[in-house]
Formats: sequence, C-alpha cells, structure tokens
Amino acid sequence: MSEEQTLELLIGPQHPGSGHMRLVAEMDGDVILNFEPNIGYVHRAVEKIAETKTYVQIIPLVERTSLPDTANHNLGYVLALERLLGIDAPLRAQYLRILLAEINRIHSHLYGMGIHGNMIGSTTMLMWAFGDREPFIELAQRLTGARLSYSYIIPGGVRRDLPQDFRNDALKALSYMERRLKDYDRIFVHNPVTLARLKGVGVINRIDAARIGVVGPNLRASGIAYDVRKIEPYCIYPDLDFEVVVRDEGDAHARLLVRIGEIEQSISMIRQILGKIPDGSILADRYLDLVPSRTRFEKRSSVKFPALFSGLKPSKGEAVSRVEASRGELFHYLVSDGSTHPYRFRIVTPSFKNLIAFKHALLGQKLADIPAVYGSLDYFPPEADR
Amino acid sequence: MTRVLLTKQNGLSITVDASKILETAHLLKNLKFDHVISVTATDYPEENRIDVIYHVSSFEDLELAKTILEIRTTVSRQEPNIHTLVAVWPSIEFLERETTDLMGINFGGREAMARLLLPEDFEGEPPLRKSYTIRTEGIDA
Amino acid sequence: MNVVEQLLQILLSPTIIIPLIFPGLLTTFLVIIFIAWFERKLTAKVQLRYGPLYVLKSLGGLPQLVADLLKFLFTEIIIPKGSDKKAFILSPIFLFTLSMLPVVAIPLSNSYAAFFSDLSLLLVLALLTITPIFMLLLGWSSNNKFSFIGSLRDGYLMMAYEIPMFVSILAMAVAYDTLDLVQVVGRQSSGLWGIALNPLAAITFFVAMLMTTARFPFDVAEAESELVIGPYTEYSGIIFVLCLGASYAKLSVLSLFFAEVFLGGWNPLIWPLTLNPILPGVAVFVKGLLVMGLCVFMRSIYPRFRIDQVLKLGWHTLFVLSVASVALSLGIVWVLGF
Repeated sequence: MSEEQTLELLIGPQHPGSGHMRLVAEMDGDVILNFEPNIGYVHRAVEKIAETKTYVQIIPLVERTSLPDTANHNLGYVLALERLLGIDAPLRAQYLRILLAEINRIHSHLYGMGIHGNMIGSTTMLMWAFGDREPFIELAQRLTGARLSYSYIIPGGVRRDLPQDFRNDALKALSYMERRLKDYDRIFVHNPVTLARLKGVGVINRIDAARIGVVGPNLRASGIAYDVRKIEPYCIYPDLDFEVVVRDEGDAHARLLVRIGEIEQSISMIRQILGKIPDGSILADRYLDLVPSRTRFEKRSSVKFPALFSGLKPSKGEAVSRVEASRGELFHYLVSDGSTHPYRFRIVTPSFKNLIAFKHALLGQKLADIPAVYGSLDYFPPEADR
Repeated sequence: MTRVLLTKQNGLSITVDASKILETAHLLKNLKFDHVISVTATDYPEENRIDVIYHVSSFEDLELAKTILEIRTTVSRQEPNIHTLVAVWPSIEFLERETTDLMGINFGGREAMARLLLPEDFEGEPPLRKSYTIRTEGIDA
Repeated sequence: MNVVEQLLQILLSPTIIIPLIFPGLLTTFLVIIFIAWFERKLTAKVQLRYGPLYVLKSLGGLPQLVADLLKFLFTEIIIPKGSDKKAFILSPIFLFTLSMLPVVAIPLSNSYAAFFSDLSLLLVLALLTITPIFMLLLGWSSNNKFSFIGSLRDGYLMMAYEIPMFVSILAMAVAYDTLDLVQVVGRQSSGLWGIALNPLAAITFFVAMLMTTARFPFDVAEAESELVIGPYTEYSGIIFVLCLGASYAKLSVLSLFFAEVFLGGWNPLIWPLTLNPILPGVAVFVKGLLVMGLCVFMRSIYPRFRIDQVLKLGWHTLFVLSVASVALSLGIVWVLGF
C-alpha cells in the first residue's frame, strides 16, 4: 500500500464521537488499516496525588477516576486498605456495600448503553437510558446522601444505614427497570438497524480476548466466564445466587447483550440483598468503640467520619484487591510504609485494560464502525487515564 | 528465580533478577498465566532501586485465575532498564508504556513509542518517582 | 400611479408569488419552522423530554427555530484559511436555492403553478439531482477531512437513491400515462390514489426520499459520532443555517411531490373549490406535512445505517422494488386498461 492511498484521520480530542482522547485511524477508503488510541488528555495523576493524601482522603480521590462507577472503585480501594489494616466489616455493612455496588452497576451499564446508542445514532436509547438511570441514582442518594460520588464505603464498614422506606422504593425501581428492559429490546437492542450495525462488528475472539487481556463484559462477550465476583468472591457474593453472563460471539452486539444480562442479574441480586440483609452494626467494633458518642451514632445510624480515620496508620506491608467493577476487573495495589500516607498506590482500571481492544477489534472494519465498537466497549476515558 | 513467597491472600510472589524476566515470563506463560493485570514500579530512592512488580493471572484456566501471581524484580534508578514482555503477553502493552511515562523505566526490545499519558513534549523527572517535586498552584504556592 | 399599478401587477403575478410566497420561499420557511419544531417535539415526546419550550411557552416553543435563526444571524461566519473561499460561500447558497427551486414546477391546483410543463413530474426530480454536486463542492472546498468524507458519502448516497427514485416515478408515469403533475392529480380524482394503485412505488419512493433528505436511518453523510456534522463541519453562522435548511427544503418539496403523486394531491376537492388555489394548496400541504411528520419520526425509532449498508439497500432492495413497481404498473395498465 503506497503512502498516498491511505488517509490519516485524527478523530478527537475535539470531536463529538471521540471522548477525551484522540483516535488515530489510518484509512484505505472506508477500511481501517491501523488504529491507535492516544490517551492521557484527562490524566490527573491519581496515583501521585494519593501519595500525598491520608488513607481516608483517598476514598473520594479514587472515585474521581470513574464517576459513573464510583461505588465499585470505592469498594476496591477500601478492600485493599482493609487488608492492610487487618479488619473486616460486619455482615450488614457488607450487604450494604454490595447493594450499592449493584445499584451502581445498573446505572453505570445504562450510562454505557445510552452512549452506545447515541454513537450509532439512536438518540432515543441515549435519552431513555439516561432517564432510567435516575431512579437508581435516586436510590443511591437515599442510601448515601450523594448522587454519584458516594464515598459510602469506609474502612470497617459503611457510612449510613439503610433508610426506613428504602426497600419498597428499591423494589419499585427494580420492577420498573425490568419493564423498561423490554422496551429497550424493542426500540434498540433488536432494532433491525442496530443488528445491522453491531452484528459481526468489532469481533474479539476467545483466544484474542485472553491474549490482549480485555476485562469485564467485553471479556465475557468473547466467551470467557471470568468474573471476579465468582473467581475471587468478595464481601457477600458467595451468598448471592447469580449467573455469569457469557456470550460466544465476541462482537459489538454480544457486548451489548452481556451488559443487559448483567443488569438483569444485578436486579435479582438487589432483590436477594433486600430480602436477606441481616440486622447488626454497620461499622466494625474496633472503630465503633473509638467513636466518641456511640449512643448518638446508634440513634442516627450514620457514621460521621471519626477523627481517628484521619490518622489511620496501617502497618508496613502490601495489599492487593480486585473487584468486578462495572467495566471489568479493577485492581488496586497498596504499599504502606507505616505512615499515614500510602508509599505507593497503584490502580489499574478496567477501561485502561480495555484500551487495547481498540487496536485489535477495529482493524479491517469500516470508518462508521469506530463509534459502534467504541460504544460497545463501554470505554470511559477518564477512568482509563486516571 | 531467587525467592518464592506465599502472600497473605492466596497469592504467590516470586522474586527474579531483572535479567531473567523474559525467561520467567515464558515459563509462566507456558503455565497458562496468560495475561498481565498490572505493572507497578515503586521507587525507593534511599536504596537507589526501583522495584518493578508484575501481577499476572489467567483467563483460560479459571482455577488458576483465582491466583494473582506477583513477579518482583529490581532495577537501579540510574539505569532502569528491563526487557519488554510485550512479545510474551500482548496485554502488557499499555501497562509498560504507562510505566515508561510515569516512572522512567526503559523497556528494551520494543520499538520506541510516543508518550501515552503525559504530553508529547514532557521533559524532566518522571512524575511518579519520589524525587519529582510537585508544583502546587493557588493558595499553597 | 400607473407605474405602481404595473409594479403591483408584476409583484402579484403567479411567477413572483409562487416562488417567493406560496408555495415558495415564505411558505417553505414557515413549513420548515413548523416541521423542525414538530420533529424536536415529537422526538422529545418519545424520549420523555420536553423539547423546545421556552420560546413562547403558550405555543409550546414553536418559534424556537426563529430564535435559533436570529442567533445564527449574529454569529460570525468563519471561513477557514485553507478553504476555497468562493466555493465555500457560494455552494450553500446554491444548495439551498436548488433545493427550493423544484417548488415552481409543483402545481397546487389545476391552474396554479409558476411553471407549467407537461414534463413537471420529471422536472421536479431533475432539479433535485443537481444538489449533490453542490454538496460535493461544499465538502471539497472546506478542506477538512470530515467534510470531504461526508460529502463523498452524500455522493455515494445519491448513487443509491437516485435510480430507484426515478424508476419508481417512472412506474407511476406508466400507471397514469402522463408526466404532467396536474394530470397525475387528475387521474387520482376517482379516489384510487397512487399509494393504493402502486404501493411498491410508494414505498420505494418514500425510502429514497428519506435517503435524499438525510433522514434517519440514512443519516450517514452527517453522522455526528463519526464525521462531526459531515459536509458542514467548517460552516458557521447563517451559511450553516442554509446548509441545514437545504435538507429541510428538500424534504418539504419532496413531501409535496409525494402528496401529489401518491396521495391524490388536492383530491378529494372538486371543481368549484379548486378555482382558488388557497384551498387545494392547503390540502396538498396538509398531506405533505403528514409525510414530513412521518419522515422526521424515523429519528426516534432508528439508529443510523453504515454507508455500505445503505448502498446495498439501495441497489439490492430498492432498485429491485422499483423495477417490480414498474412491472406492477404495466400489469395494472394491462388489466385495467387505463
């Protein structure tokens, strides 16, 4: 192929379809010969900032890496920190953590589906999905007091107890979502145009998926039943009955269907959690004893960050944690030198692992497939850049 | 392989010499460790070393997937050179590029790559090293 | 006095009124305002939103487009350095004018048209086929890769819709045995409208019409997530409005055309009512607006096809359909002996 026959197309960072990144596509006519994502436009050096913050200050910081998926990022970090500290959260707190994590997974998947819909031109899917995130964001707000940046999960427990009327509203939201999923199916998921756009597009086969190390729904859409919630179950996942949604096609449509399957699984998990959440404390006894006004805490059933957290000093050592965030496996690695700040903090976010899929899934595809595949990967640039 | 350790969370940690990293990777790849979860470099300026830590696991073998294997190796701060593993584990590509950017580790044996996370024209101390001075803005400045 | 009278006579003559006022520029402008509002309002309804609301709340935000237009009027027109300036400025003007022009050949009653021709059926379409040339020029002169790809896609699209469109109209010409729109409407006075006479041709023409006017799911030339806004990427201010207006003007013209060929034109109005062009004109416009409404409704149902899929659809399905519609027409003529 001689130089003159190809066209180098720079998509982004100022482009409605690129997100905070630059996509460099080498085109031969309408066919992509080479594809290189260029990221870093929203790099905020979270790992470096973390070295200057106390352990508890890092909780809101890690949430900033991925705003649609804060609960899982919060959880992943706190699990690593708890391993360093050597404490466990009480059972009720564990249930509440997973409750929030699954609520978050639903609205994060809806976010991804909405963007995906918009990218292939279905503004209806965008508006519906974003509209239907609202009940879940509201639920999370009831539980945590915040719409997106919850900072709900703290070392040794959670910040607030389940509100009084939460259960009924949650069940209402869940059955609403189940109805809506049927609507989505008709207008978008099995719309003939969607099928034409997504079927067989951006295929990552099983072998490639493992080789290039994509994670999350993208991996499971390629036929690998890898889900951290099953492989290395954390919190109360062993007690919950759920399936790992797997599809074998590996194309953009399979990735969409896996996300929808996961929303269904999350709905069922939230029902189970609401059904069997045990009574008890929401903060580990070790910290509860140190909370100055224990009686007030019990009356208000919420934890005001106790001053002791600001001086949290884990012993020297290292801890890793992995959780299944909405976009895939989220890895935290924490090195402590015994001071109040981590010596080294490493996050590998699912979007960063999925970045490589762009290079592989788009080769030989058409120009118009770039947004179709981009959306199907549910790639979130700020999460990748950290 | 110089040291094998069992970590707290049913993980395994092995320490190898930086020159042996490629062989180790090949060996592990044959044991079905098929992808890299993370590449972490940790700077220890007092001891004049940078630890490069690989976390690898498996997707193909879901039993093996329950383990995160840690491969630790050390390079010097002045000559932070180590062989690339991109030929063994393609999934390491962006992780290595990120580490080059932020920690200044040179992964030999792969073609020179443009900067990934930092601006193209970034110069000076790699930002994640401890010797990097953080410039603050606003009221702290 | 005499001069003024003469001037008035010239101004009120059909050759001026038709292109400028009814059904020309002014009416089309009003129709565009309405249909753009209707599109947004309808899409908003489907998508659980309000849509335009605050510009005259009592009318539900109907004059929103007027407000947008005023805003665009005062927006600086930026002409990129590397562009071909003359072509860059002139091609949207030509594009819009040519999209509007076919309106002169569309009669609104037996005696009301700016340009009577016994070939008006072909004339309308023939005038519209010139517009893609300016679309290409527009993309080329912008000197932007996205504009260029967008206008190329528009050129390709033309390949997909043009032939089925002409062939389906040919089918109707065979069925009606005329190329004159006035007669076409006359033939439908029996109550057997074109859409019932030859539904294949109607479907083909409708889909081709969606392609021509870049409605969803054939919005490939302007595909926002791929090409920013396709050929118009570098445009700003009032010339950008002309670009956008051109596709609506085309939609309006083609919908009127569809109403005349397939929906019976000013039928079922009969002789004494058709003397004054207002009433039959309104009838045609109402039918046209219904067609337009259906076209813009596609936005809330369908995502966007890929260009190769559109071409495939054009050649594999539409073309075959259009040929079948000609066969159907021949059959009809043979059986009914029109």
